[in-house]
Amino acid sequence: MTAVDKPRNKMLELKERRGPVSSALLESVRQNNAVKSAIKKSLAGGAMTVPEIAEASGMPTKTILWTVTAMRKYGSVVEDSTDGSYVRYALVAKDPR
Amino acid sequence: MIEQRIDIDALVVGAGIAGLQSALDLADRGYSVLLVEREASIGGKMIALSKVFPTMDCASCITTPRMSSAAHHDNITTWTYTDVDSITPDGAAFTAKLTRKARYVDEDLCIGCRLCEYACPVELPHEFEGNMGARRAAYIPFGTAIPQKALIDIDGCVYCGKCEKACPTDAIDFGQKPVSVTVHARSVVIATGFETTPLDAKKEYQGGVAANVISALDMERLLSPNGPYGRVLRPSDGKIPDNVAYVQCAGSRDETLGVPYCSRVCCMYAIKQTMLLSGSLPLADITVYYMDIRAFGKGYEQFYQTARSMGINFVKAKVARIEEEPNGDLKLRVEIIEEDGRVSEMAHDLVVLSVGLKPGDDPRRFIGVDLDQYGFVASPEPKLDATLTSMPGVAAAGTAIGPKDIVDSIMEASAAATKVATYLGPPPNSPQPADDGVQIDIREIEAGDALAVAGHSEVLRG
Ligand SMILES: Cc1cc2nc3c(=O)[nH]c(=O)nc-3n(C[C@H](O)[C@H](O)[C@H](O)COP(=O)(O)OP(=O)(O)OC[C@H]3O[C@@H](n4cnc5c(N)ncnc54)[C@H](O)[C@@H]3O)c2cc1C
Ligand code: SF4
Ligand code: SF4
Repeated sequence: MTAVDKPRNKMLELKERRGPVSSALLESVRQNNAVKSAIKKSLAGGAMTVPEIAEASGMPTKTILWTVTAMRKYGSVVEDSTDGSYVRYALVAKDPR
Repeated sequence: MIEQRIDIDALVVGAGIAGLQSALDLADRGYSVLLVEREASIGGKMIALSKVFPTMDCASCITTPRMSSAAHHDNITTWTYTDVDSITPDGAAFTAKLTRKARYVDEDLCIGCRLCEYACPVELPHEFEGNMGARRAAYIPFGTAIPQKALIDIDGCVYCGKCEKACPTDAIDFGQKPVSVTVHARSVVIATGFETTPLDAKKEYQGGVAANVISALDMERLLSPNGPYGRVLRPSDGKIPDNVAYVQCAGSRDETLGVPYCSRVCCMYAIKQTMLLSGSLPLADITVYYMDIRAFGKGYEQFYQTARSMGINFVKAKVARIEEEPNGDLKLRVEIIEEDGRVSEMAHDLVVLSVGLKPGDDPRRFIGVDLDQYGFVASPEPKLDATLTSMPGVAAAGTAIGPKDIVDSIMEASAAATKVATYLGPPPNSPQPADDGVQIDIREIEAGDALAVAGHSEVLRG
């Protein structure tokens, strides 16, 4: 394999050809990471519902639900129990990512 | 761009249930088929459904075997993530120009382990889940996708290289480029399917604005065991809904929206969903606001009556307006037809709009077939031969022709395959039939008229 064929170089070549990553995308990645951290911080004390996490973190319920859903899909959060109207979510002991 | 060229008997455009069925029927008869799908997985809308009326079969349980049969059939070549740029008549056949889009993943090397997806730091709304769930920039389209191969959404990529590092087979290939392919096809089946009418078509219903006004397709995902939340929750705050409303004809039978026709399946899918909802939310009140219930098929009226007897509240009414309350609940202004148009305000915590069906693509972008006034493929014999098109050698099937359910889509797909088989004559390498005096003679009678197989009355003609 020549230096040019190395995957990393192909990626950088593609990046060069397509231009810089948009600031909106970078900002949304940052924002998503911040919401995840806030959720982890809230859930560190025990299982909570979406409105409870939203109240503790000062973030909108819709954003919290979307992010908890993503965390559940990728294995860092699980359903714990329900209180009738809402589901309580808990952190997984060992976060796969 | 790299160029390739191939020859086949039939090019099937669209790999929803109709395209899959046409491809399978033709392939089983010995014809070589190229099945082309623009998305990264085959399966179309049906693979996203929860259960299907009227049998209540699990949709993925009955769709995946068909998807898998097509993907593994010796006579079918399946290309996902491929655009059709043009299909033009070329003598008695067609020249099709296709573009195989770059997945940035080598499909031959990818083993579907999803390690790239787990490594990727970018999370984006997942279209397959009605944006209620997430996917990453490197991802496998969904759990039952065929092929189970990753792709990279390059517009969402931040070029961190984590997917490459995580991939155990070196399948990630940022050097991949779109491949331009010229296909020489003897016939074509258009099975480009449907899209639902936009959620925000009727501004007064707040679709796309109020988080808890969702489409029926979103509800299919919420009802699916592998859906975004793993259960039915409302999107604004994760509340388990206890008072759900359906608004029928929310995008159909309305001249002002350009959809004056009835979309045929919305009454039945709404009834199905209410039955499934009453199973997953046994304490919830469920109301359907409707103008008429069109339970058109065999066993469908009984299906409706079963829903009524289960306690689903069917109210003959017109919903004039929906307003969102600060807590996410919804206030519906309803004219109750059975009570002389009395206007009532009804409160619900989740509203499902029974959106209609419109064409899944504009086939005129790539092929010169006639369309009807709504953009569906038009047959010159709509009554006698629905799968014909205005072009000799080109058939159509499924919701590309007009709104219909799965049973009708599959029957039409088989009919289209039969037309194409008749048009093509015996498949190559098939045993020659004993001479019964019938001459197989494919000839063009005149431009725009008919291509006939002598001795057969049913032919594909323009
Ligand atoms: C909410 C909802 C619930 C439903 N529930 C039921 C039910 O319970 N029972 C029932 O019988 N029916 C149901 N239906 C109807 C059912 O979904 C359709 O009858 C069926 O899916 C139609 O299949 P199709 O192959 O015609 O179209 P589609 O499933 O739309 O497939 C078309 C395929 O073609 C692809 N395509 C489009 N254009 C191109 C192009 N240019 N190049 C390449 N590929 C292209 C698309 O990506 C898609 O994969 C429901 C519909 C809705 C909206
Ligand atoms: S390079 Fe792109 S696709 Fe790969 S992990 Fe990074 S962001 Fe995701
Ligand atoms: S691209 Fe690599 S890491 Fe991703 S699913 Fe395929 S084999 Fe696994």
